[in-house]
Amino acid sequence: MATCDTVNLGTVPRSEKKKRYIICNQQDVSEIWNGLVLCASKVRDEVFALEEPIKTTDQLLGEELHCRTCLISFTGNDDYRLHYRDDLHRYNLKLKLNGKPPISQDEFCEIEDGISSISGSDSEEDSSEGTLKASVGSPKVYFQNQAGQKMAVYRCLLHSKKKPPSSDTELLQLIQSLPNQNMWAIIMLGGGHFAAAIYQGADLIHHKTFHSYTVRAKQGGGQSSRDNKSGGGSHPKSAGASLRRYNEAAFAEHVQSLFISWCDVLKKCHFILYRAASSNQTIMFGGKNPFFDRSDPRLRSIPFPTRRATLNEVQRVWLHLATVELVDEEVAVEDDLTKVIATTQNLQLAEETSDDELKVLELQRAKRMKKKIVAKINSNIAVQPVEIIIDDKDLFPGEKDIIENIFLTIKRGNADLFDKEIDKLSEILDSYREEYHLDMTDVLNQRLGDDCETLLQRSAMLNKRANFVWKLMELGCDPSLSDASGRVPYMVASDKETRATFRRFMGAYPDQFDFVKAAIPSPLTEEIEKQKADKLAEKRKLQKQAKKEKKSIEKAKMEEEKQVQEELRKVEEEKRKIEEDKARFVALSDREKRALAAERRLLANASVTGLATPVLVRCFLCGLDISGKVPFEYNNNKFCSPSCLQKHRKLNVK
Amino acid sequence: MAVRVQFENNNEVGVFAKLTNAYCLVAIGGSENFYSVFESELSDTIPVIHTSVAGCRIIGRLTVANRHGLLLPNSTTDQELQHIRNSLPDSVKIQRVEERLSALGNVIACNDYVALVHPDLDKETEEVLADTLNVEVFRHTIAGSVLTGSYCAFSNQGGIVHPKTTVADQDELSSLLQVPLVAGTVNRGSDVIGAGLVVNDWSAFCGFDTTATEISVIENVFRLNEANQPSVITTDMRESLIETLT
Repeated sequence: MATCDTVNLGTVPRSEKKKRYIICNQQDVSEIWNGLVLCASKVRDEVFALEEPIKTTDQLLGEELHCRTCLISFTGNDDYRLHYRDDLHRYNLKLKLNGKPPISQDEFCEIEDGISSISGSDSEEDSSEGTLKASVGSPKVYFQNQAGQKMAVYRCLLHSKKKPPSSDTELLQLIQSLPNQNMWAIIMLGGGHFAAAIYQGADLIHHKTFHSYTVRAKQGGGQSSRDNKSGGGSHPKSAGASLRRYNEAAFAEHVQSLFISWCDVLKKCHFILYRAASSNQTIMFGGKNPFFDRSDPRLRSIPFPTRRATLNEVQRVWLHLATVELVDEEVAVEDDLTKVIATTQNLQLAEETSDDELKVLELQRAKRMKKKIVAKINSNIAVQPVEIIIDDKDLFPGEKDIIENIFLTIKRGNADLFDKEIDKLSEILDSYREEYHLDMTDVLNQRLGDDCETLLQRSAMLNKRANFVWKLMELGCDPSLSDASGRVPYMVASDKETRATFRRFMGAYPDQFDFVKAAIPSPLTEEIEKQKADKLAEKRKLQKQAKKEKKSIEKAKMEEEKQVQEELRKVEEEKRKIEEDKARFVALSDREKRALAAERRLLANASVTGLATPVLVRCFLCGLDISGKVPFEYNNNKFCSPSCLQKHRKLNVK
Repeated sequence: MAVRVQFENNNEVGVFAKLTNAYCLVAIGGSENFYSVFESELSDTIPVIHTSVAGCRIIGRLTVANRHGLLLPNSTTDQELQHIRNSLPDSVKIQRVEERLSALGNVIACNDYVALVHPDLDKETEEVLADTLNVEVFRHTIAGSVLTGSYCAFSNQGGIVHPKTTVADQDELSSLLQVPLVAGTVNRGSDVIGAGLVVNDWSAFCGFDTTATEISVIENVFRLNEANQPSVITTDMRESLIETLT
């Protein structure tokens, strides 16, 4: 086996990397960390323009390292190879197999929560973006050294959000002291995954990861958040739910016991960078005696979106945070920044690790566009809303109450009460005639509620209240009055009978209302209905007949089949008889065969000569004439049939 | 040298055998012909082992292996696992995996450094794969097909992929795998490369139907003609090696 080891040759060549400056690396830092001056904020804009190399698809394909599935190109071999293990790549592969175009990292971040099969963890990305947007100022601080090199480090390494430095000089001091603070702890929690590591300088001195099953399959989200949603009432009682509930508790305990075992080292750390979605924060800060104190100035949250909590991810986060970004000055920055942002939107983003702020900006822009489009579509689809001016005042005192009462009777389906209410209303109207000059129709066509629907519309919406709809229309309720969203009663009618009622009314009183406006398609008179019913009856009759015919044909077929089978059976029977006869004859001894032949000859002679046929052999039992036939026999006794033979035998046995 | 071989009149030798740089697994057949071809070619360098997996002879399609380890589907019986464990060198890690896509050989293609896997492979399996076989795992497709293990075969020297793989895809794959690739066929035009061919760094076995042209492509891309056979180290390369060591 040793030979095999020596044979192997697949050294993996790695492409040259750009020089990276790591904050914790004393050598790196001594090169550049002198004479630091803060940069004006304008540099930041330039940085945006520089960091996003704009690529078209053609250019992408022309370059050396690119993923043809995701249409992303890479500068470093490491990033390139990492990409193939990314969820984004996996998702794009699936899209490609389905013949769909790939999506960019940004789009993926947006939809990631929805795809439980890929991420397997709960909605972390959202919350992280939330904190990102809420953060004060930019996530990076830009400064310059003596040699004029412009650099940037993450602000979270300099101070906590709660204690921002009061002046630039203080901030500079913080930057200068940064290389000495080289003991970092990184903790990531989310979706049942935990990863933590402690770095001293660039060395990973402690690390631990674990995972437990807490995220609900397919639906996503942790079990506890699901339980909270149900409001303490009905928690799911499935085996899976209780398993996850238990796992969540065990997970929290596990994490806390780990923190306790790391207590000494954690105390020495200069920063504790953490990332925990809201529900996971309770593991760190919640409980009776939380391990971490929220006011601890060393606690900083990680200022960019991260993937699932794994050791690899922790290492990536460390590298990303510890890298001092050099802002290349030589490249001219004349491009209009706004133009750059606008164009990048249509292109794939080059690298995962690009500036986060730009992403946020783009996200917002995309969301805004989406909203606009949605609004536009909505306005196109909906029926043109009608401007309705409503007077909220009652036409006469207690008018609203009466209408509500009428509606209640309709709802209950009580026709007597309805009539009574209507009588009451007309009485009241009579009494107010002098005062208000009101008609019944005015009152019944009043708009009700926020949607400004009429009493007729409300009634039409009810199930099986067609008779009331008719009555209302007779009383003068106008079916052409639409509500706030432009719907007329006919549109909202809940059942066929109600719609038919509208049409019948149109047939009966074609001129009473504006039926075109009421969107009632055609009148329905008794004649038409009768015709329709006749047609239906005819159809049914025909169907019945066809069914009958079919049945009779089937019956005939069955009978025929039966007959054929019967015949077959008969033929078979005969064949069997002949066969048996044959077998019996063959079984006879030669002497008997000859005797039989002789018998036959005698019989034939007798028939020829016209004499009475002599009885040569009789059945031993019943005495039937069996001359000339092959007898059934045993012990030289001859019988006409097997049954005679059997009887004789039984008798003899006794 | 690429050798033509047949398993009970069947040309898909990759189905019935698994070849790595450290060992070779051969299915239990009716006759010993198939086995003895492997035996005669390999036995002086690596062990050749008779085995079944889950009672099946299609061991090449069910397993995935390189010189660091061997992954078996969870349908493998304990007895088989024990037999394989006893027969393989101790340095080889053996692992049974719970994976929905149980024909591991069809969904994973690997050499001693990298593995190309089906995009839907389980995350857990991916981790087991990386740990057991010491490989970098890439999710990818070959010529639009997800069955990476069926449609390509590669060693540490080179590889053959499905004939319909585009040149751009070949470039991408070869920059991922870090080995030269060529699109080709085996068994007189069969595009299921993985089934028709087993290969390691110094030998290859292909179906009886493989044409001379196909053989020459195989020998070229896997560099089987060059002086990289294990015996060369102690003979031809000896002097130069010792010179550089001192």
